[in-house]
Amino acid sequence: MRKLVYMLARLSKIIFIISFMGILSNNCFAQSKTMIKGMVHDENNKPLPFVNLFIQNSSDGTTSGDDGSFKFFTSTQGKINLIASMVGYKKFIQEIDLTKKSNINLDIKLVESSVTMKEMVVSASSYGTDKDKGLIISSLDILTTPGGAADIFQALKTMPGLTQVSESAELYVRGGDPIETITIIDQAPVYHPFTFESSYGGIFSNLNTSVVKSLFFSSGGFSAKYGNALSGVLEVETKNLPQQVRWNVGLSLANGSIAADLPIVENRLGLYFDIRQDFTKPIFWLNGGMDRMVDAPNSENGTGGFVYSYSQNGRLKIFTILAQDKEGVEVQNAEYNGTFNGSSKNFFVNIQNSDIIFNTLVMKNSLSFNRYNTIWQLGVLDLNTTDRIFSFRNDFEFMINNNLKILSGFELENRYIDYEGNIPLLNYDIRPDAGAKYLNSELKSSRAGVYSELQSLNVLGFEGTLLSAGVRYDKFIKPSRNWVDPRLCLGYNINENSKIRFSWGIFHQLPDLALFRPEDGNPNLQAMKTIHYIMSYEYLLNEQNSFRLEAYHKKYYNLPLDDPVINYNNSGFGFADGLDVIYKGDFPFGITGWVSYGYINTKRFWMDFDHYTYSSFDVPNNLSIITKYNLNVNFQLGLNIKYATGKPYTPVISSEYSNQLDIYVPNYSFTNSGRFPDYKRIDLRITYFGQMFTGNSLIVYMEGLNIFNFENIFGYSYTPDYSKQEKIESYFGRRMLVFGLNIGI
Amino acid sequence: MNSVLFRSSILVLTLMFVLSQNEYSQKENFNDLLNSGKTFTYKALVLHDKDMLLEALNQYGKILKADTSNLEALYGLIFVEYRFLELSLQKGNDSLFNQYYQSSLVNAAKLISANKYLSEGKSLLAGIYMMKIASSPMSAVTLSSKINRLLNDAEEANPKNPTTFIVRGEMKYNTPKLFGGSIEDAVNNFNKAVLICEQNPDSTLVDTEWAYLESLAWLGQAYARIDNYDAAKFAYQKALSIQADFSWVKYILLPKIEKKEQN
Repeated sequence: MRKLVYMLARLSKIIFIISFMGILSNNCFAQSKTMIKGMVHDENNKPLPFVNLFIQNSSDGTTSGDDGSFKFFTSTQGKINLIASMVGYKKFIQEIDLTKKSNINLDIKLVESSVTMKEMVVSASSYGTDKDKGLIISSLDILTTPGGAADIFQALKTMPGLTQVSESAELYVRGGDPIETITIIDQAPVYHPFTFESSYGGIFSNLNTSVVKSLFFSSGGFSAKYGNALSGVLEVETKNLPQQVRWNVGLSLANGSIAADLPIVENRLGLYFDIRQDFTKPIFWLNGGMDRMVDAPNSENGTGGFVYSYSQNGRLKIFTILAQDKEGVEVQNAEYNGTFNGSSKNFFVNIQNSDIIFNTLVMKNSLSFNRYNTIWQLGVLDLNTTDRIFSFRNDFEFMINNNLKILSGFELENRYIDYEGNIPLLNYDIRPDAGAKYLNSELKSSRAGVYSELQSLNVLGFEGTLLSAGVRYDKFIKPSRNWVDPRLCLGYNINENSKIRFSWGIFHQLPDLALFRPEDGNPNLQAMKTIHYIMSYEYLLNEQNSFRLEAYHKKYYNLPLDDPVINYNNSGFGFADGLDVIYKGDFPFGITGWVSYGYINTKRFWMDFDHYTYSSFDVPNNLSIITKYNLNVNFQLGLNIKYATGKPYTPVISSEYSNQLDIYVPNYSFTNSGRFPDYKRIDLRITYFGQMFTGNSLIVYMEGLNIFNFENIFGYSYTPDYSKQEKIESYFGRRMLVFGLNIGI
Repeated sequence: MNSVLFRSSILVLTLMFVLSQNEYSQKENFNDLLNSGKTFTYKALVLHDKDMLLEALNQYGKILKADTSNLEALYGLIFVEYRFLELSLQKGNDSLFNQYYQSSLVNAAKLISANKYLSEGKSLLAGIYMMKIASSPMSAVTLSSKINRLLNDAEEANPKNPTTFIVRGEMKYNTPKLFGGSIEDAVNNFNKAVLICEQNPDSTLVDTEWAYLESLAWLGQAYARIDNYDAAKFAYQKALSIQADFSWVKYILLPKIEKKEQN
């Protein structure tokens, strides 16, 4: 018993000692470890997850959770620098004295860094390569669209709201003429981004995809940033500093190319270029059609950029395009069969500077020059046109807080167009000895534009709302015109995945400068005007899968209309109503791609129209189905199915023989009273993606264009007495087989 | 009669006992091999040791030879094969890559079809395809949509599998911006993986400690890419505080940052 008591006494002693040691050690721990905890949120008190919080030059730190809270322990003593870091936000640094402190409670506010140039409010009808620019159309989409020849414009034509009026790459946006859509490269306007321009439009763009960093396209309701455009905007940003040396060589039946990315000084200086020679002879030789070619279309094209990064945010970029093309095609007209000879030369150079000033203001400037010269010859037509554009543009972006941003800027543009040569006096007599009007005129336009726009999220505290309100003022000094265009976009995020938007805006644009020619135009023409109303619903499941439905109404005012006395007046008008729908993403059986459908009803009374009727771009149904299926890691099968209602045209109903002219003179029916057959086309492409040897890439492709050889007509020619119609097919629209390869080093 | 029945019963019971003991010892053996495979894998990755990686492969191979339906071993095997792909790319060894590529694809498909570890299987398969893109960049055209789909499925099946976010982060980090890459998205994905590892990972297959180390190493690289050296250093130092011998960080990544800072 005594022994037991003794043992118990020993045990209690041991327990006491252990407990004491425990208390001591806890005390020591409490003394050596400091707990740092708190919350991290943005300027609107929204909790920020995934923020890294840490003590500078140590491993003590953590990541904030979904609710923005954080907690970690440190044994560091004395003064420390606590850093909170998150991409897109300014680094937060706070000095804290940890001496004798066991708990630190912090409330950290992160301020968004102005370096991020995201669109805060994406307007309706927007597409872009970045997710912050609208529905995503990636470079991969452009490169792998069958039949698109990796051309930006041809790929964009598969989006809803762009009508299939011809095989050309020109963008017919929601019933608008191609001149109603402006192309901007690094802030500078480019009015002729095409090769092989003729009366059928340019076939391809001369902007090679390999030099593009990002693009943004809007088919309506766009920001006040963009002026002098009635229907659409395509904004292209070219590549910045190349990071590594890359060479790319391509060869196909249609072209040969060489491209390179060449860093000169790491993260400082670099250049890139893409030089291309197009030659269509092999295609026509293989697929037929050479009989129509006197001089098969060929072109040379070089694009390149030189980039100097002079500071962390400051960058100077010189971007240039040099292009020329030539073609000679047999043309059949009722009164004359001859050769259309067309050629063009294009030179564009732009110097762009971008930087952040006063730490908060993003500034971009661009100074550009573009000279475009074209010669068209057919019978009596012999016209030499030179278009020169000088422009300067300045854009500012100022982030007031996370939910409020101001965009502002101004632009100056001088445009000179010289016409020299003969144009036919009568549109039905183009014979070499026919009556002609000699033109020798220089038209000049000078424009200054200024804009300001406010973009806001969670407007007036209403969660999920968004607003973009802007206004721009444009003043043409010569010819003297000015206008004010307000623009508005309201939106609401219904939930994380879906949103609705409403866009409204007034848009002005000066008519084609040719209509201002004193000889056959009216120097007093006013600017054309449209008002856009767009309702949009968008469902974005994730980056890969999205759906968009849009309804729009566009009203046209002040359109130029033929006038027997003053050549043109401004009493033309019109409208375009429509519905656009697109689903882009995954389909069953591992197929990816997109389906887009656009319905449009558009009428106009303008130019030489004899009454208010269907616009020449009224193509009510436009369907594009682009699908890609990966057969295995190396092979991809692509299909591009297109269907569109035939476009309207004005038929000849009879003719009368003219003794004076010694030809038959056609009598036309009412404007656009006829309609071409529906447009149908299926392109198939099989591509091999692999390697030739280690580190190099190899692409080999074979493409069948219009594989079912559907007859697509873009015009009619007539027998000399107009008694019989003959179909005119686009020479790039027939069934064709194209193959080629591309090697990347 | 009764005694015959009694003897038979004894015999059956003895046999059952012996068999169960055998099964028990086989299970024990499998567990030992599995643990040893995991240990070899972890050490191989930390110390960048190819021989240990081969040893891990060997351990998993032994289990699968005896029991082809052992999914834990199958996962371990695919994970090691995936690491061999990474190793072959670092060494520019095409034959090593080809040796493991097809087999890892077949094994990953087997794991996914078993349906039990969908998230783990799909994340690894996405990672294997990502290696293929690294070896042959043009295959991005055919594989990137597959990878995105696999990772979305993996996240849906198990939102707390850190591997899904590591692989997605690597994709975002390595893909050029023009084709959908984004450092911001990469950082967010690596941070998600870090958080999962710190809080409550929900996968019996994934080696959380390695996933934690790997997410921190990638997080550091993503920060370094945008010249945020403080954050990069923190991520590297944190990784070293967990595993001081983490050779990739210790000898390559951290010194690279320190050199850049000096310049």
